[in-house]
Parts: sequence; structure tokens; C-alpha cells
Amino acid sequence: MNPEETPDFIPEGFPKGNPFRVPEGYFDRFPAKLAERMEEDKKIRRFPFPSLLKPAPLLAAACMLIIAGVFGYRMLSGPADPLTDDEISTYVYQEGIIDELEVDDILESTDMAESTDTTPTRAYTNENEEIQYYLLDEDIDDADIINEL
Amino acid sequence: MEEFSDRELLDLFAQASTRNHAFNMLVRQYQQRLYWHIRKMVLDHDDADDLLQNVFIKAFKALDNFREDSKIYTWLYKIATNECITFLNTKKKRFMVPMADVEYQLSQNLETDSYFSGDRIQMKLQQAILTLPDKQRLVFNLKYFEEMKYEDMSEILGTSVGALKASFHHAVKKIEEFMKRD
Repeated sequence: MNPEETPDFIPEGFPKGNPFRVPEGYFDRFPAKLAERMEEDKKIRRFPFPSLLKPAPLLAAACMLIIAGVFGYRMLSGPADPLTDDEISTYVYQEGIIDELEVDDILESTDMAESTDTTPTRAYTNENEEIQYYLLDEDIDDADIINEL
Repeated sequence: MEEFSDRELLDLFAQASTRNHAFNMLVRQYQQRLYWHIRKMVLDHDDADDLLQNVFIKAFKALDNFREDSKIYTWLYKIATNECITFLNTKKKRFMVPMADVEYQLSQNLETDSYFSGDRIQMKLQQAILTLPDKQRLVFNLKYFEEMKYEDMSEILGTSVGALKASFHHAVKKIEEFMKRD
């Protein structure tokens, strides 16, 4: 077949016409619609960072600002120079805070008063052992202690 | 509608006072031809509408530097063709789908398109055209529907007249085979 010929698979009388349609009055409205879009584009171009006007970069920029804000706030509000143990104990004694505290207050603040755990602490156990060793070393009899009391 | 020559349009566009008027004339003069060229490639009206706007916006920006080596008509077709190819390639990449699937999807869209008024044989012809590679599809549409001269097509597509004739011939053969099926 000569490439210049009309393809022969098209039946006789087949309309070569256009099977597509457009909305009513589309071509009449198109120049105005185009002018409107060009005006919009011009406005965007006037903004120094046009890419920031697109939703995705705008959202990313907002997220970055929020993260930076939270991080900055934490940095500023955190302890700049934490107090040493010595400074704390000096403060407590100087202010006489220790005198005002009762044993019950301390227990309460450390939750020991409410504690149901009856296991002796390691420090307490060590203290008993030390007493026992002392008594054995010094050869002190239980009866002597009772008599002394 | 009164048709303006390229020279008239360019002269009017060069003057600030008549620039917008000249561009408006250019849009009115070429909008339909360019629209149908784009529509036959992307099939969907909304996509064609977007691309047509892009074409004219690009033309507006570049018209000052338009050298009269070619006609405005072929120059606009060239912009439109590039827009179509970019659009189709982007679509394929964005959805990470093989070309055959995009063609299938376009074909399915055609069947539900309220702006397609063709009968069964016209639908089948469009589906057959969709099986062609993009460039062959362009050649077929420009020659068969728009009856464009090979010389003008050569300018638009940057391909020799001989290659275009061969491409059209192959396209016709493929479509013929498709149409004979079932």
C-alpha cells in the first residue's frame, strides 16, 4: 500500500470526522480562561519564592518551623548549669530546711511509708553483719550486753 | 473569524499597546487545531485543556524571541507535541506502570468518557491507535486526521520526510491488523 493512501481498513463512507467532543462553548471561553491563568501566574511570579506557594513545600516548611520551635523551646527552658550535690546540701543546711523535715515527711516523700516491701535493704543487712563481726572480734558475750542494758 | 498572517501577528505583538490584542488573536486563530492535536494524544478533555493553556503560556513567553525560520503554526505544534510527550512520559513514571498499562488505562477512560461520541468502529480505531508507540501515534494522527503535509510534520517532529512516510506506513499496518482481530 502506498503510505500516502488512506488506509483500506476504513469501510466505505466511514466518516473520518472527529469522535471527540468538548463542553458547550469551550472554545469561546478558552481565551478568557487562559488570560485568567496568566494573570494568576504573574501574581505567583511576583512572590520571591514561588515554589513556597505550592502546598507540599509550604507544608514541609511549616513542619520544619514547628520542629525547630519545639527544639528551641526545650533548649532554652532546660537547666543551663545543673547544681552539684555539694551545692544542694549546702543550700539545705544554710536554709535550715533539714531542721523542718520530719522522718515521716522524708518517708512519705520517698514512698517508703506506704511501701509493702519487707525485704531489708542491703545497707541494713550490712550493718547487722558489721555488729556481729564486732561482737565476735571483741569477744563480747550476749549476757554482758543484756546486763549493760 | 479574520485570519492574521504571521507577520501581522508578530508586528502587533512587538508593540506594547497591541501586544495583548495580538496574543488574543493568535490564541483564537490556533486554539482549535492545537486542542484537537493534543486531545488525540492525551484523550482526556481536562488534560488537553491544561496542556493547551501551557502551550500558549510558553508561546507568550517565547514569542519575542521567535525567529521566522518556521511558521508560527508549526512552531506552536512543536510546543504542543513536546508538552504531550512530556505529559505522557510523566504519567508513566509517576504511576510506575509499563507503557502498555497506560495505553490500556487510556483506552478504558475512552469508553467512559462523556466527551467521546464515536460509534463502535471509531472507538476501535482509537483503541488501535493507542497500541502504537507515542511518536508513531503522533505521525498517524497528524497525517490521517489533520492531513498535515510531511514537510510540516518533519519540521515539528524533527524527523526526515522519508522516515515519517515509513512510520505512517507501519502505523497503518499495525492498525489494520488490530482492526481485523475479533
